[in-house]
This record gives sequence, C-alpha cells and structure tokens, in this order.
Amino acid sequence: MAKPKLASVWLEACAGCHMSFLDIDERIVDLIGKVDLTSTPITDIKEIPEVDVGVIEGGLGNEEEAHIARELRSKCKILIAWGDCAVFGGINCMRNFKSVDDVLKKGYVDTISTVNPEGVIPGGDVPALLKHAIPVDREVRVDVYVPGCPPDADTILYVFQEILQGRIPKVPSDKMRYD
Amino acid sequence: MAQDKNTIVINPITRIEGHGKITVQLDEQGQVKSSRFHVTQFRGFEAFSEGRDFREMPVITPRICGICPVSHHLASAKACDAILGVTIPPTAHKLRELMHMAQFVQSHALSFFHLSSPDLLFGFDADPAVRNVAGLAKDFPELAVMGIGMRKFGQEIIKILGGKKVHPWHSIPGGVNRSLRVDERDALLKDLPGIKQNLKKALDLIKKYLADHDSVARGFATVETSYMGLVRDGALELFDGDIRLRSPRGRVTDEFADSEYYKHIGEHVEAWSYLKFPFYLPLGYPHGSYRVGPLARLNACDDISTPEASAELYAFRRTTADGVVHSTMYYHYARLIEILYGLERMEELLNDPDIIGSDLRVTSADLQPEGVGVVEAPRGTLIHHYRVNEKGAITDVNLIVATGHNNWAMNKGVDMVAREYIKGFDVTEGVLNRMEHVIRCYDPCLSCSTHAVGKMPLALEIQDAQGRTIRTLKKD
Amino acid sequence: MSDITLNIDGIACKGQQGDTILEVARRNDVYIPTMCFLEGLSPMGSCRMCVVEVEGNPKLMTACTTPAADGMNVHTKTDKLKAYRKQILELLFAGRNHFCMFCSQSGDCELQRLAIEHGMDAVRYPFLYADFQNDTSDSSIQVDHNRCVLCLRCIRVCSEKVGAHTLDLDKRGWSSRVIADIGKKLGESDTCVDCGACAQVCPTGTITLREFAYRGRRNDCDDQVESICPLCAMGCRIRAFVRTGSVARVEGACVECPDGGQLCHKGRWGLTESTERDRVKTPMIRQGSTFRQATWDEALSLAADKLRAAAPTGRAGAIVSELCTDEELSIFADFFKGSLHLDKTDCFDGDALRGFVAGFAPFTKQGVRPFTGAHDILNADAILLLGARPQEEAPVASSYVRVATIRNGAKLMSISPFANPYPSISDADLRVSMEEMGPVLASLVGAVGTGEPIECAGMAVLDAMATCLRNAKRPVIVIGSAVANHPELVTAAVNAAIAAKSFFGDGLGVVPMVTTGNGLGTVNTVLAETAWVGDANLDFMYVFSTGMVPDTKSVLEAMSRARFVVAQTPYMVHPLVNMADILLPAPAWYERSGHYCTLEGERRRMNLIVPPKSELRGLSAILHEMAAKAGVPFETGNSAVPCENVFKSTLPPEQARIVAVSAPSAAGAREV
Repeated sequence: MAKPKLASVWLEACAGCHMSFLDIDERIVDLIGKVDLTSTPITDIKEIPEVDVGVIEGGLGNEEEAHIARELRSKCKILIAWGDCAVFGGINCMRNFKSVDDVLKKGYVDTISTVNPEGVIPGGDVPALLKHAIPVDREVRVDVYVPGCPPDADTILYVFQEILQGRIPKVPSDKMRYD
Repeated sequence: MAQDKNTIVINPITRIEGHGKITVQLDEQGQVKSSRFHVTQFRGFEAFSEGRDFREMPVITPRICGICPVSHHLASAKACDAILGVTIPPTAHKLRELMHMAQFVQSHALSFFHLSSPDLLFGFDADPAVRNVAGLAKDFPELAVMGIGMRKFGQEIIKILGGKKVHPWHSIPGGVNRSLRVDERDALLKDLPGIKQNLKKALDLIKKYLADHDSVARGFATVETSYMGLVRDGALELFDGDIRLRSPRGRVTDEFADSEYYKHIGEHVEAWSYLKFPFYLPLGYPHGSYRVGPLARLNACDDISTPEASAELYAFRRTTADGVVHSTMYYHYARLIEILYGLERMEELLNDPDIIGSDLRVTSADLQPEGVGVVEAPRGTLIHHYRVNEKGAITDVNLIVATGHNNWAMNKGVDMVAREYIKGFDVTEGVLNRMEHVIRCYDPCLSCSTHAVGKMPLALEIQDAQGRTIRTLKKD
Repeated sequence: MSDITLNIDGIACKGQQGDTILEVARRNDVYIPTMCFLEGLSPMGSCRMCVVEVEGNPKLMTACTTPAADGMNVHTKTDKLKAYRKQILELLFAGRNHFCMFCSQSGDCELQRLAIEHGMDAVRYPFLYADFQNDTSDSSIQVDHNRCVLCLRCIRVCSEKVGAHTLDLDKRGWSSRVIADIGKKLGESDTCVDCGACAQVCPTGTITLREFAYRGRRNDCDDQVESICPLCAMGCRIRAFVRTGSVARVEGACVECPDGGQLCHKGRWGLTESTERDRVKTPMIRQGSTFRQATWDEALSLAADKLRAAAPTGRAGAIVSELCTDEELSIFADFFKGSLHLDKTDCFDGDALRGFVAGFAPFTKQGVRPFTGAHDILNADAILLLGARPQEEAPVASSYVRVATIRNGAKLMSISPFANPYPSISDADLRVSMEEMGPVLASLVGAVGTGEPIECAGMAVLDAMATCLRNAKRPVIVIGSAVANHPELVTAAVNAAIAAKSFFGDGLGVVPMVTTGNGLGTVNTVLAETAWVGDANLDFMYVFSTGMVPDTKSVLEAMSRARFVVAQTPYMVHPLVNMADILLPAPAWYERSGHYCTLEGERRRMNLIVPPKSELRGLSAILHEMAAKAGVPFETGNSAVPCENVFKSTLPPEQARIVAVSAPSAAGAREV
C-alpha cells in the first residue's frame, strides 16, 4: 500500500481515544513516517479530503456529528470506530433515558450556580441534539471496531499496523476492553 | 454550502481539545461588527448522573474529558470526601496530589509541545500540512521527543497509581485504593532530573520566542481581566486551597473557601453556545468575567512554594511594570513554569515518607447532603458540586469546568483579532489561524466545557448585516 | 454410583451416573462457558451460555442441566455454538444498559469477560435504551437493574444459602426484574439480612456493595489469602484480596462448606471497614490527659515494674480478647498464670462462657460432647430456640435455621423471654421469663421423654413442642447466649436434647450461641473459674483488645477503677484507650495467625493476610521481654491446646444420661 492517508474526527466523546493514540509515545514518529495525517484534531487541515482510512472517536449526539460521520464515510475506504462511544454509544447514551428537553433544562436552567432567569436554552448557531446519542454504526457502515474507554494505545497501534499490512483487522480478545 | 460574503466561520478549531467554531459578523462596509466563539457540543452529565451512587462519580465524571481526566477524578473524589464528611489520611492526600502533578506535567506538555509549539516554530502563516505534531517530529525531532518523553513520564505515574493512562481508577471517596510501592517511587525519582532538564530547555525556547516576537506577543489578543486561581497561604496551589480573585491592577478582590464558590460565582447562558459564561456574582455578567488557567494562577498567587519555579515566577513578573501579566501569549510561558512547579512538587512528594504509607482511606456512615470539590485543572479552576439524598444517590450535579471561566475572554480575544486582522471581505488563512490561536492559548478543553453538551470543530463563519451566513471558512 | 465415560470434544471423559455434562467437563478440564451457573447453587440453564451439541439430538442442550450419559458424544466448541453464544451476549448488551467504563465490577464482570472472550467488538441488534432503574434505596447495596442479565443467582443464593428468600423475580421475559419481598425495593425489605451474598454472586455490576466499590477489582489485587472471619464463633472461611499491602475486599470462600461461601453482615462490612481505622502505631505512655510516644523498651519496662509490684499482692489482673487465636491465648495463659501466678485472668465476655461450661459440665463429666457443629442445624427437621437470637449472635447459624425450614420443612420453635426472632416462619412461640424457663424446660423434658401430655393450663403450645421434638428424627436445640447466665437452664436444654434423642456425629444436638470469635478457645486458657471483674479493685490491669467488637462495659469500668492499666490494641478504640496508662500496638486481625475453636465444631486456621507494618511486635516477643524485665521465668506449656479440651469426647452421644436439675412449677408462663 502506498503511504495511506488518514483522517480522524472527534465527535460525541471526551478525546480520550485520541489521547490514548498519543500514548503510543515515541512510536508515533515511526507511524507518521508511514501514514499521512490529514484532517485530525491534532493537525490543522479542516476539510476532510479523500482518504484511505477514516477514524471516528465518539458517538453521534447532534445533527452536525451525524453529518460529519456521513461525510467521513463517503470520503474514506476503511472506517474505524474508536472507543466505546463510537462502538456502543458509550456514556453519552445515559442521557437517552431522558428527553432532550429535560437534559438541556437540567444543564442550563436547574444547575446550582446557573443564573438564567429567562430560561435561555442554547439553540441558535449550535447544532440541535439528536433524540438519542447513538453509536456510529447506527448512521453509517463501520469496518473496524475498536472498543475501550479508551482502547489501549497498543491496541490502537495494532489496528494501524494491520491496516498498513493490507488487512482489515479485528481486535483480538486479548487486546479488547470495554472500560 | 452557499456562502454569503459577510460571515466568516472557522470550523473546526483544531489542535485544541474540544469542539467549537467562530463566527464573525461584518457590517455593510465589510467591517467586523461582532465575533462569537461557539461551543457546539453538549453531552448531559448533569442530567444523567442523577440517581447514581455518589461513589460512582469519580469514575463517571472523568469521561467528560480524556485530556485531563485526572482533574475530574480528583475534584469528584474531593466532593465525595465532603459528602462522607471526612478528612482523608496524609498518604492518600499526597498520592492524589502526586497523580495531579503528573497530570499537570502530561497535559501541559501536550499543550505546549504537541499542540502549540508548531505555531511558534513554523509561524502562524506556515503551511497547515506541516504546522502540526507530524511536522514537529520531522523538522524538530529533538523537541518532539522531549515533549513526548515528558508527557509519557506524567502518564506513566498516572498509570502506576490508577491502572490506566486515560481514565484511571485511583481515588475513591475517603481516600485512594492503592499505595505506591518503594520500587515504583525509586524509579520515578531516578527519571525526574532528566525531565526537569528538558523542561528548562523548553523554558529557554519560549523565553527566546517571546523576546524575539515581543510586540506581537504582548499585543496578541491581550485583554486585561481579573484572574482566578487556588492559593494556599497565598502561594500557588493546584490541588487543595482557597479560591482567590485578583483584579487587573493586582489587588486581591476576594478570597473564599472552595466550598463557598456558589456564593461568589454564577454562570450566564447564551443561546448561541453550549458553553456557559461564569462570572463573579458581585460584579454581574459580563463585568464580573475573569480568566483562569496558568496565566491566571501565576497572577493570582503571591509566590510559588518550590525554589526553582519561584525564581521563574519572579522572572515572569519582571516582564511587566506592575507584575500582572495580561498577554494571552504568555499563557504558554506560564504553563511551562507550572510544569517546573509540578516536577519540583513531585520530587518533594516522592521524598516524603508518607508517600509510601499504607493508610489509604477513611470512611463514614453519616452522609452529608452535599459536597463541593475544587482543584486547579491544567486549564483552570474546576468545580464539582453534588447533592445526594439520604441514601447517597445523586440528586444534583453542578460542574464548572476550567475552560468555561475563560469563555468570555476567549470571545473577547477572538473579537479583538477579528477587528485587527479582518478588514473587508478578504480573509487569509493565517488570520484564521491567529483566531484559532487565541482559543488555543487558553488550551481550552472543550470536551470538558461541554461535558453537559457536545463538540468543538472551529469554523469561521462570516455573516452579513442581516445575519445570513455568507461565507464559511475552513482551512484546507 | 457407577462410572460413565463420555466423549467431549474428542476427549474421553470419565464421570459418574447423575453428573451433568458440565460437571463431567469441568472435572476433565474441558472449558464450557457459563453465566447463570454457580457452583453450590441449583442449576437452572436459563442463560444458555453453556449450550453444547449432543450427537443424535438436534437441539442445543444446556450443559449445566443435562445429565451426562455413558457413551454420549458432546461438542462444546463448534462454530454454531460460538455464534449462538455470541448472539446471546449481544442481545444481553442491547436489551439492557451496560456502561462498563464506570461500572465498579468492570474487570471482575463475568458478562464482560464472556463478551470479550467471544470477540464481541460491536452489537448488531438495536439498543433499546429502556431505563430499568438504578435502585439506591438500600444504603449499603446498590441494585442497578440496567445491568441485570436475569441469571437469578442472587435469588437462588438468598433462598438456598441465606434462607432469607428476600429476592424474587417480577414480570416475564425482557421486562423481568429482581424484586425484594414480592414487590419492594431492596431498601424497603423487611426480610433482607444485609449479608451481601447477592452482591458476591452477581456476575455483573447489578448488585454491588456501595461502600466497597472501586477499592480494587479481583484482578487488581496482588494476592488472595484464605483465612477465617474472627467476628463471631462461626469462624466462616473467607478469602481476602490484598492490594499493595492492604485488604481491599473480603469474600466468603468456601462453596463446599455448609455455609456455601456466605458471609453475614458482620463479616461483610466489618472486616474491610477495619482496614481504614486509626491505628495505635507505637507504644505510648500517658502524659496528663494525653499520650506521648515511647519506645518499646521504655513502655515495657514501665509495665513490668508495675506488674512486678502488683502481682504478688493479688491485685493484678489481665483481660484477653476472645478474638485471640488458641496460640495467643496459650501464650497469655503461660505468662499470666504460669510465670506470674495471677489468679485474675479472664476474657471480655467470660460470664456467658462460664455459664455454658458450667451447664455442660455434668455431661462433659460423663464423657460425651454436649453440643454439635452448628451446620447440623441445616439437617434438622425440628429446631428449638431457647432464648436464642441467632441473627445477632451467630448470623450464619441463623441462615442455617432459615434454610432448614425451607429445605427440610423443619419445624421452628422458640421458648424465650425475647421477641420471636423469626416471626414469619416459626411454628410455635412461647414467651417466658428466664425465671420461668427452668420449670418450662423441666416439663418439656419430662413430656418428650415419657410421651405424657402436658396438661397445665395454657401450655398447649409446650405440649405441641414436646410432641414435635419427640417425633422429630433430627431435632436441634439452640441455646442463646443470655441463657448461659443461668447454667441450670443450659443443663436443662441438654437434657431436652437427650430426651429427644438428638444425636449427631460425636455430639448431642445442641448448639450454644457463643457470640465471641474464639470464645471456646478461652476455656482452659484465660477463662477464669469464677467471675472477678465486677468487684475488681486492682493495682495493675493488662487488657488485650482486638478492637473488632465493642468492649464489655464491665471490663471498661474495671479499667477505669484500676490504678495502672496497660492496654494493647490495634486501633484507637474509645473509650478503651482513654482508660490506659500505657498503650501498646497490637497486630490487626489480618496481621495475625493461629487457630480458632469454632461453633462449626472444628478447629479452623486463621492465616496471616498482610504482614504487620511499622512498630508492631509479635505477642510472644512482647510477653517474653516483659517477663525478663519483671524478673520472672517464662513458663511455657501450662495449658493444653484449647480445642482439644473443648471438642473431646470419650462416649458417643447416645450414651448421654439426663441429669437432675431443680425444677419449680411452670405456672405463669404465657403463651404467645
């Protein structure tokens, strides 16, 4: 495979998976030599180009995130779901037990130190929340699932190495975690 | 996307830790009318933590942010200690502080080396394809390796104590769940001096950069604000102290116990951002806005308790006439001084016999109805406040995260850059990057700030006088 | 039982007629995944993880419930089975709400382990996102129904081992939910005994012990040590998990034991809690209203001086905790009785123990053992409680009582001055005062022995009890600790057992509710023959407390009156430490080892779980040094091994003879 292009996005999540990726530490220097990082949260290219590998950290919680997931899917050959949020929906799904309105009201009106006599709820110029926070594969097809909160750095690296070898990896049990 | 010529959107803001976009609204003449920094993600931690056992909070809340999970872990554990109504044993306190220092080292190293140094080394107008950590690794391998090593050192400590580098498990209500073994302590003490040497090289680098780019650095998005940070006996404190506010002219405006925060701090809500705007209640919003984080902490404190960082603090203050440093670019400088403090404090802690003690926790059956836990996260003051029912189930959660405090200042800074660099409809990529760098100076952890909500790509959206989006600018 | 051979995955596996396929597989080291199955509980085959293919049978069979047959060909690892099991796991994850990232059981969770083992990297089925509710109504146990896989282990252990039968299943299918007391939340239950067995057996994070969450998963722990719980005389076997030098968690250990691996509320909460109390870390000497740190040498020299002066006057005494091991008790006896010839030694709760000893004495003299192992309650078909409150006195024995009523349909009777301890399951209840109990028992013994009806007015209940005991095949009599203050009642109770022909193994079917850890071990070591604590006016007093149970008030009072007090204890327990002039650190229960004479009728070993830290010194070293400083030789071997004294017998129980007890009339007893 020629030096593959990689784009990653961070959607409804905490960035922990990207941090775990950085925890491959000095091995990142070697990896960067083999992979072309394009649009990622740690580089400056904003527009997702056509890439070989797309990575999504995070579930989908609002319209914009769903849109980005579709865009990345359409521009990549292999789509990887990083982390419990992308794979299973993750902790975001705990809000699914309540209505969007209740969740927003709790956050922006009822919290102890909020001073919001008019009950303003963010809504203009910010993307609307989806009814449920959902895993990525409820919106687009996913090729490689890497669960974990976050997945271990070694597991993340293993997945890239497999892809560089031309294989579509499946995370083996001894590298899999859900917490 | 159909673009109107009067709105600029930067989306996403990259190399910051969160989700956001910037919109700039122009008037008929193409002059900047207003600029806004929107945080576009909300996740709902305040809502979905309801009904959980409070003991779960130190493990739930780190999921707000994978960049500084330890801060949430510790603030949460402190709030839970308050619910138990206990004072944790000295060993537990020191182990928590050790993990916290490790977190400062790793997080500040990430911010400086991985995310911000490319701007400084390559210049704001350099090609985005190289202006990143990959470019850094290629053109400045020594610095890249140094940064990676420093972050790794911090992350390793977190892993030793908490089992994982991201989202560790160590603090529990009333203490911690694991002690530090002697061999582990000795290994850390062995590695410390080398890390400190490297940090000093980075300090030299930032000092030289600021001297070489003096006028830009001093003028860059400089806003004169109040500053907030924890202090203990007046000295810089990151883990356990009182909250102090210092005015732009250097007077201590207020100092109060962390558990009383809600009597002094309120949060304002705007419809166009998922990130709330905290303010000092006596002055109201927006007059009571202030800044937090490394710069704010070094302004808020009187001194630093460790010798080398204290000397650096004095040098830092000599850069201005009155000792209060307002320049936003100086956040980077302040951040490195804090790493130095973190390393020195780590050394003190590791040499303290208590650090290998085995009294790890205390408990109580009498639950208090609420608890507040406050720490300085790398990006600023982090407040966790829980209320529980008589069985210990969460009824209310209030979280004020570091980046939130800076929300007003980030908006103000973006507006200043917009007014200075956007003249008419011709907007260059370098200008956009300067706007982003305003945000990046605050190293905003927007995953934190939007714990309740969502995400932060940065787009610059230009709107015309009627408020229609006329142009969305993303860098490509 | 005859041997059978079956072929599992191509391996010839030996088993016995009556084994299930799973039992044969496990015995032959063939792994079959299970979830609802738990050793010791009745199998139910509901989770279907253990499905196997049996040649000649088109259906998938659950290995945990399918009887093995000779010549069977079984396959456990076919692709079909793996796919089927993975599908079950995915459905479990989709149907409820499993958030591993913050679950305190993550890493210990069997559902998680199975899912990872089966390579479940995503869930193909729609997530339902129905909130099954997190029940936090109980302040010590959380029940998060979102994580429940309906394995029913909790329901089974609660009924089969604890006998509380608090838990049940509500509704059907996906909406099923574990409930307490037929429709309540756990915190509202009247029947829950707060033992935490449900949490111990839960394969997921559904039922968790709130206080002990996140203290260290089993996997995080460096070591596992089997020992016994020191908190009551049952001596239940425990497994302690050690993490970087401290006890992170304690579980019931022995699935094969009669207790089935349960712990009671005392052991479940008290043991782990004790690891975070304030310790006495160094010797301390009183200085005005407080203490100053001292060296061992200084503290022991001062203690020895005072002791040497007081010992010959007869105004020196020693109180030693019943939570000491046989070995520790023997060392104390050697020192205080052997070397110093003190006539005043005792344990904290000596009165009750003396009562049992005195009450049992006529039978011990006959050469029979007048009591049996508490687990024999499990096999009883009639249980008579005499002033007994097993749930407070020896809670696992209380489980035995409840289980016997469920499993054997045992008749449960109580004659007591106290409220009926089992109001909902007892068959007969007679409320009498302690004074009235003697005559009542005499009537009972007579009626059981002779078969003559008791015709005294209002004594129909007693008559029914007599009939029941006479007809029972395996009756057991449980004597409460309060009864022990009246040795003649203890004797009468044993008489009743003899009359009812209650013979078990090598002892009579009597279970004394000795409440204190190694109380039986104090007999023939430190236990005084006559009580002295109440009227003690001492110049010197030595008190060894383990700090694990409340110190007896009479001892504390005696300490407050003594002129010089040396207290040795692991914890800063108040008011004990306030009474001391010298405080000596002692090892905590997890830092000691030795043996206990247990109510289960056997000697059990307590193991060192964590080596003592800081300035702790072994008891033997301390007492030897004190003997040297006091100028007396250390006399070893003054007392025999305690348990041998307690458990020995020369005659089988069948040869026990009823002895005479003074028996006034039963008038005045009132029926309840």
